[in-house]
Amino acid sequence: MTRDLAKAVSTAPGLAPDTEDERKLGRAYLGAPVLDQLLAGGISYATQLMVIGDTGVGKSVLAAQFLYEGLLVGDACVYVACDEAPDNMRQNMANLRLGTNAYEKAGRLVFVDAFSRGHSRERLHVMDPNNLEEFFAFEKQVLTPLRGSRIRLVVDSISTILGTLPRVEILQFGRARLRTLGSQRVLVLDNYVTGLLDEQTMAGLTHAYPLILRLGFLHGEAGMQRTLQLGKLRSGMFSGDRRLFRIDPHAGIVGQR
Amino acid sequence: MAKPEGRGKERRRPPSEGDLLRVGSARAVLFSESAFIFLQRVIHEQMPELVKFGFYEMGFRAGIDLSKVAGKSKDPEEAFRRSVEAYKTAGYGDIEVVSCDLEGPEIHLRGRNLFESSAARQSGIYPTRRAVDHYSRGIFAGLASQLLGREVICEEMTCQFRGEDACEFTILPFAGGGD
Repeated sequence: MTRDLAKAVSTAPGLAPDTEDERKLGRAYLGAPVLDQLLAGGISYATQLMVIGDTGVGKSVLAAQFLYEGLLVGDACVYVACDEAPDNMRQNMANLRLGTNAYEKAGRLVFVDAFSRGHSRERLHVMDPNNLEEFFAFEKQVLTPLRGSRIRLVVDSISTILGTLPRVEILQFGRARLRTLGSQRVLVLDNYVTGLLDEQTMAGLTHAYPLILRLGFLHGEAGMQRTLQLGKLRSGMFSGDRRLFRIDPHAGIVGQR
Repeated sequence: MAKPEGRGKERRRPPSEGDLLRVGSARAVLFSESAFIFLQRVIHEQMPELVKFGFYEMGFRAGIDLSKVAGKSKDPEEAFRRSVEAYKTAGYGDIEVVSCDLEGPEIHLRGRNLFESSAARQSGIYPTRRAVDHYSRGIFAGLASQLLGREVICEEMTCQFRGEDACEFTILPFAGGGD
């Protein structure tokens, strides 16, 4: 990470605490040391992080670490499963040696099934997640009882529910939703699968997020490797160097030296 | 270089059984808090991703050994309570079993002055206040898993290092079946 980006991250709107409320909430970390080292000093709880990456690159693993971090520091956490049933995330967390049952019973970890539709066994499920009004309303309904706590929200992946909709509708929804979540000081991690939305739509959406993380594969002499790049697009700044990482089933995203 | 006093003598005399510290049938050693903090710092520096998993798993193995201190008992709850007492006696911290339902299973424990919370104040590895007793939750999960004959997991729901009054632990089965 360049010093310039570190400075940008620590002072940028949406990333730096700019109100008394945000100062009281303290600083947040993502839970993956390779990223937290890049965000020295942490980020504000009103931050929205856009994670863009290929299928299988590690977006859901990062989501598990992000939620684990939240549970350790005492946040209320919400996971919206769009690509697989929530049990897959429970299993990811179990691999990290995180038992979700205790947190679910305590109401500090909430799983929402936006994948199984009519066949869900979950207490909370969205019948038609592609109906953005319904999704928006449901998200608000889930978050309302958690007010008073610091909240983390993961939608994995939000591109799945946006995929077939018109660009104008997607951008309006994206901006309105992020504005609402930001004003409520919800720390958001939205996963996007590369290639599901067209370039212009993605370009429009990225401007709504204060923090962007790109995960990808690099095919080189050493074989296929995973890379990450953290950036803040509003200021036009992106970490110059791509960092290599691997996935460890018990440790999650691990930076390679 | 001068040989530290007494070292040569110690080397010639292998320790007899009576000199060894054991937990159940497993050999054990004592670490001082500063040694533990050093180990934690090194792991954090070299592979920070492993701190949580590594100490949990380390504790889990210790818990299995500690469960043998209680010996065989027809009453598993009594055996669990005796093992938890052994944890306390070993100096890990002050701990009590708040409730114990082995049928569920669902077990709640409450601790104060646990060694990891104390070490966390000195180690400086954590950027924010958080639940830090991964070794202890591993021990409790190991104890309970050994007595129940199936793997369960322990979570720390409140932590003194996070500013709460006590460290509270909940032991429950894995969701999603574990791995």
